[in-house]
Amino acid sequence: MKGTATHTGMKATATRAGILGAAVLLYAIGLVAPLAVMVTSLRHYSALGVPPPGLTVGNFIEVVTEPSYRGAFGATVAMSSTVVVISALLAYPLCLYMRRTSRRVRSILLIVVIAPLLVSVVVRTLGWQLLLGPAGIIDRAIGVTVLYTNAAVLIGLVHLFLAHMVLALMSVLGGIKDDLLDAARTLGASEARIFRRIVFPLSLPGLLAGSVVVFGASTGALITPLFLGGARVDLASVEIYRAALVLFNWPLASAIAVCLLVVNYGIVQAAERLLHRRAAWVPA
Amino acid sequence: MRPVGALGVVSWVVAFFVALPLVVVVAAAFTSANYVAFPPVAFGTRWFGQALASPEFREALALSLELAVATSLIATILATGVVWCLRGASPRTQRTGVAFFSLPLMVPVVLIALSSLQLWASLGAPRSMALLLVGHLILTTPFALRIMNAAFSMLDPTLEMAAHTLGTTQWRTFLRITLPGVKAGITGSLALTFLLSFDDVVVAVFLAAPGVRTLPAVIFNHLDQSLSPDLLAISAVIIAISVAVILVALRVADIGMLYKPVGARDALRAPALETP
Repeated sequence: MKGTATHTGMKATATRAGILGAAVLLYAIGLVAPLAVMVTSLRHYSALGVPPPGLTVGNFIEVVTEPSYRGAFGATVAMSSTVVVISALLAYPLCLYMRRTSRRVRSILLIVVIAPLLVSVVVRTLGWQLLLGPAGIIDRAIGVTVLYTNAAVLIGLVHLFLAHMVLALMSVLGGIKDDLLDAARTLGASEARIFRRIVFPLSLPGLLAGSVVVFGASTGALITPLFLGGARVDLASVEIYRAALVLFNWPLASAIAVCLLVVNYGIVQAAERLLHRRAAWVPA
Repeated sequence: MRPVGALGVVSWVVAFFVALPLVVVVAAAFTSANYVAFPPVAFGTRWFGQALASPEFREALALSLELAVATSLIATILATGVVWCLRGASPRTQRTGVAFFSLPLMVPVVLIALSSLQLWASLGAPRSMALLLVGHLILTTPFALRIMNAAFSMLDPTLEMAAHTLGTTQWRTFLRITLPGVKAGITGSLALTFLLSFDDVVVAVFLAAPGVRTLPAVIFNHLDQSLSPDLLAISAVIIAISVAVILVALRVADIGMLYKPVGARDALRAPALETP
């Protein structure tokens, strides 16, 4: 009896070790490979033949000094920030409404908002091409071709990532207890005051989490700027794509990618710190 | 009372905006004309037949489906296993573990795609579905892990202890008590990882090769050409498959679980809100 128990115990331990081992191996590939990219970013590039050995910071110098790359980073940060602000402005009223409406309406709205998040971006891009392109609905209605402009990319990105903001906000707004608001009402607070002093401060962590996700996702988005922005819109992700798959200059692509990662991380950290400090001031 | 009416109007306008591009694609696909027009000029379903008869689309659809099924099964099994392994550990170890296994979420997908491309090229590995599978597992396993972690955290540990006290073997306890307890999480994880893999285009495009092109990668190749009705029809098929899986997923699992914590720091902060 005892022998069997130990035996199965050992079998279970072996299984656990196997599962954990497989998972760690997968993650090693997933996490070490991006590190390898950082090494590639330090390599020389030659269009023909074997590149010279050794390491160089030339790729980074090119990214930092070349005005077109600098412009691409500026455009990426500006675009992603705008996407964050607009999706927050759209998601907030939606979430407030979902909080107080009936269960049925809430689940319908939630499905409508989440469903596109999980439908391939190429399909969504097709839809926007139909709507915004020449001879599209907007063009025929007001005579403006929005496709291949910054506005088209903005619309596409907000559409792409709005659901992240909604879900992040819902997770905090849904957690605010009605008792708390009732108590404030009983004590004579106006609805505006309740919003300013209770609902909004309590929603800040969700707003922040949503903003971080939307910002990160926007800086990394490739398909939407590529096909809704056309040749006129130049973002860092598009430059990575071009360098890697059009020019086949992997060291340069890697250098841009590393810079994008650093910029993204820096801005997210700064925003977190700023909001975190602000959140501490607001009386709960 | 606050003006619920105004909020409602804004909400439905936002929902309309969100649904619009998909509705347009599906509507425009049902045409019998030889060109793309919206609103569709003449109703017809012939482009669906044509799209599904095209070897390019059919092979890509088959590859996408195989890849998505394999990804969802392996990612969910791995995630279930990892969370189950972590359960015995201290809360601190558990948090660290979940944070570690969430790390790929912080790496932009473009970077994962680019680095996979470089890694496999430097190893001289021929392009194959296996490479796509590894890429998709890296993309999806963190999500599976989050869902399974949430599912396991709602499981009552005393049930397993009771089974153990009554002399049930570990395996039997796992199969008869633990697994049924996290069934909703498993369904949610399978659905979400399936969709993430089925929808991915970035990794698929970077790792694509002749014969190894998923359906989104094929559509990607057609995007810079003028729109054709068969492209819309195959896209409508994608929408149908995705929406069906989403409806199943939402029926059983709370997708909102995923979005609470994003990074390790948020993971520590978010739950504090629950107790005002």
